[in-house]
Amino acid sequence: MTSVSASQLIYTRVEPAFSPVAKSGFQTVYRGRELSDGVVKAIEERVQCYYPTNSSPRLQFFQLTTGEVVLSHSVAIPSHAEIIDKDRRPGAFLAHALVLSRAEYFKTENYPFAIFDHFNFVEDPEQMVNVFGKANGSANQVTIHTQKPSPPSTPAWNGAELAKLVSLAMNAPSLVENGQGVLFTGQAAIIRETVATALWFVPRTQRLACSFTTCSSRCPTQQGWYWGVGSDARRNTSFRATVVDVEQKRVSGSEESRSRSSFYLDWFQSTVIKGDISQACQWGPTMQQLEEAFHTGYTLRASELEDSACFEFLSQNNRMVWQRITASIASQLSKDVAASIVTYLTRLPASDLGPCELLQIAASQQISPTVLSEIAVSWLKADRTQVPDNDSSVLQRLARQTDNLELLFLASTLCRKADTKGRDEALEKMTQRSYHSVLELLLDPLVPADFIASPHRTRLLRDRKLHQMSDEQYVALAQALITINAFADLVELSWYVDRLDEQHLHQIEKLIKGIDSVPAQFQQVVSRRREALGPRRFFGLL
Amino acid sequence: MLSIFSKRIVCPYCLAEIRSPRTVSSCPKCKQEIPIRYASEYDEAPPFFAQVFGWSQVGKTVFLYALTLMLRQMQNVWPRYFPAPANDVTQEKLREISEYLANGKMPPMTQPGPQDVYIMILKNMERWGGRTLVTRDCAGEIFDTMRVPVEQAPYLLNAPTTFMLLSLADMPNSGGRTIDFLMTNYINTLMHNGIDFKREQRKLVVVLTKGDVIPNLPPNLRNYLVTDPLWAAVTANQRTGLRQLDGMAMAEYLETMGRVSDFIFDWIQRDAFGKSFVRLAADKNIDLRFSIISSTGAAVDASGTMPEKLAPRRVLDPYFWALDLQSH
Repeated sequence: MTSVSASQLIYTRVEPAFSPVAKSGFQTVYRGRELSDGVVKAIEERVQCYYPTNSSPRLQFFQLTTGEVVLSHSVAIPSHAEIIDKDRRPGAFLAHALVLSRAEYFKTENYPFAIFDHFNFVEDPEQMVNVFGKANGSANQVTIHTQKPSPPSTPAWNGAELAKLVSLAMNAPSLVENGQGVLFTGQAAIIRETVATALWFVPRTQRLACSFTTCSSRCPTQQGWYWGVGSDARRNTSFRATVVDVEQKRVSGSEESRSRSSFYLDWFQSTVIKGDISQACQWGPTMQQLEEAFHTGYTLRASELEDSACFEFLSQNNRMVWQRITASIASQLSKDVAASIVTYLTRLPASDLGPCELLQIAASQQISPTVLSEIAVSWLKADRTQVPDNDSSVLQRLARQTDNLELLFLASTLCRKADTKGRDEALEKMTQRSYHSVLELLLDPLVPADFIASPHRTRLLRDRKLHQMSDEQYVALAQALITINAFADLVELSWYVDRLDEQHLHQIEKLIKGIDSVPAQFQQVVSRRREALGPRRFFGLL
Repeated sequence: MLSIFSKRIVCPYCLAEIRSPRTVSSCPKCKQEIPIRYASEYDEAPPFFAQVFGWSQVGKTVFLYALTLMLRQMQNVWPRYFPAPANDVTQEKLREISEYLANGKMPPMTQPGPQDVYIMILKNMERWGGRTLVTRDCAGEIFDTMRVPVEQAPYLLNAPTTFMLLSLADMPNSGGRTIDFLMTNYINTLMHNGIDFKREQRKLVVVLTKGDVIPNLPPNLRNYLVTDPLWAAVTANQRTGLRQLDGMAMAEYLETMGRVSDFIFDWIQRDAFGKSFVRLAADKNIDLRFSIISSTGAAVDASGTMPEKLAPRRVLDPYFWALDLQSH
């Protein structure tokens, strides 16, 4: 739910006792004190003519030259003898207008029906006096609680006609500028529904231009006032009009050419023309946000996007998206690493990708270090290729910046010469879970000795993959244990001693010679192997 | 260069002067379509621009309705006379007027903003021949200010005669307004728009509306109202005896109107505000004529329904004044 603040203005006919200036006649009876005379006059000009043709209210939406947005709701009212007209003449109406700043209105995503559908406009003279008082002329600001709009009901629309309608809405600025617009003909309630449908499918930054009045019968409308004008029947307009018959759901007249290409409009048109209006409803908001994000840098929130729509956008704009992601990564790592990471990402199955998250990165051309470090870990674990020294340093820096110990370990080890400092720093702090995760790289390609400096090394020492290690790797492993004084752990490696050849047995003997802390069990195993191999030969001689 | 034989007409919408050797179909200035009969019969029935001026609820719209009704009915009175609407909105308005009167409902309140232009061609009126009546209703709210928005009362500046409607019956409940305020607003508006009263004499037909409910109306004026021979003439039938009014009868009628105007001129100055009203006009050399009318014939009831038997009284008087003033 979103709350917006608005100023109010009530325009109707009153008798002197109810007039702020003690005069009878049509007038602004209540107004927010914050509204200037110019704003009031501009609103009066638009609302003062109203000849309702049925019981549906007239809705008007327009923007003033001063920037405020106005939403007005007008109804025919009974000619109350005391409040409205002592002669009780027919023809009275009440216009209740809300005036919002651009910033407030933007909270509704520029969708006027978020307010029209959720605000209780005054519709009766007695209600008006009860709410605002008698003749005080003042209307307080009001807070309106709006909801996110639901997709419109569009079952009766033919895809091609709906595409034309939305195209007209998206071309509103150029239409109005060129003295053109849309005439909606039919019942007021259906005109309202049609306009709401059209605006729902228009990206929010373009909705402001779609000013409208749902009822203009017998009232002149100045050129440039509205994009869309409603009437119960065809009528002459002050602009060249494309006619939309809201009851037949048909758009007549030539389709206007677009002033700029639009991914969203192309997608929308192709989707509805092939008959998939429900998909347009479901994916529309995501596609709108994506288009806005890629054009204006609007910050996407991946959680608000529809996954399937993101996939579709990604597949339609594959090259552009990945170029932007590469650039984002390259701003923090090298171009080569960025390219490698992107290559890895593009190979992933669709189900493994977070398409909305990827698009968020591509749109903003920024990737948070935390996200980048997680991606880098996935890439390193998948590719397992050696990283150039420079890149290794950069990755280590990133890892430390983001407290990503897995990345620190991998960046320190998957390089030409392991950076033992970085490696051991990561191992010492790493959780058991992370340790088990990096252990996947044991002997593919990392050597066992690279995993020693961890309090969780028991898992390593019992890993069956060790059966594939070479004698050099065994010796290095034993050396690493001895270096950190983990003598007791040598016992866990006893089983391998019987495989050692002469050379490597001798290396083990040298390692443990003179160290009292080496467990007796291990020493015995080594001795046994020595007995089996016989005394050490020097250059082939005894 | 336009030929001296070019036809000259005034656009009924924007009042621009149009010169053309042929009958024009649209105004080059405002682009509105000119009704064909208006343009082609311009010389036989030159336009008569009727501008009403008066506060809200004084009865401007009802007056125009009643005037239109009477003008249609005068076919029963003037031997060769006939009216004809010149455009669609006028024909629609005639239909609306008939419907309202048939249902006994008051016409709707007039909304601020530009109104439709009604054009009715009146042929072969006794005394005045052919005229095209061009009217545009106005919302009374616009006359509340000393600078009336002339774009909403477009004939105010150009029409030589203006109908100023006053409802004396409503004055006590008008929030402290007095009749001289209206004269002030009229004079100020014209001066703001460049009218020089010294060089151009303006003519004002002051119409006292709702005559049937004016309190303390002198008996002779009340009697004048109820004994409207024109209403009797238009409603006459074979049984009561048809009566037509020729030129001489019209001259007598006009003479009576003159006496009534003089009487009202004196009567209205019985208080300070009336004196002020008249003196303001005199100061600007405004030619005043007075008439008293009842557009409905009796009071409108609390539900807004007009009297069962609608009987407009003397509603043609202001129109006759304006025609006569323009003829001299």
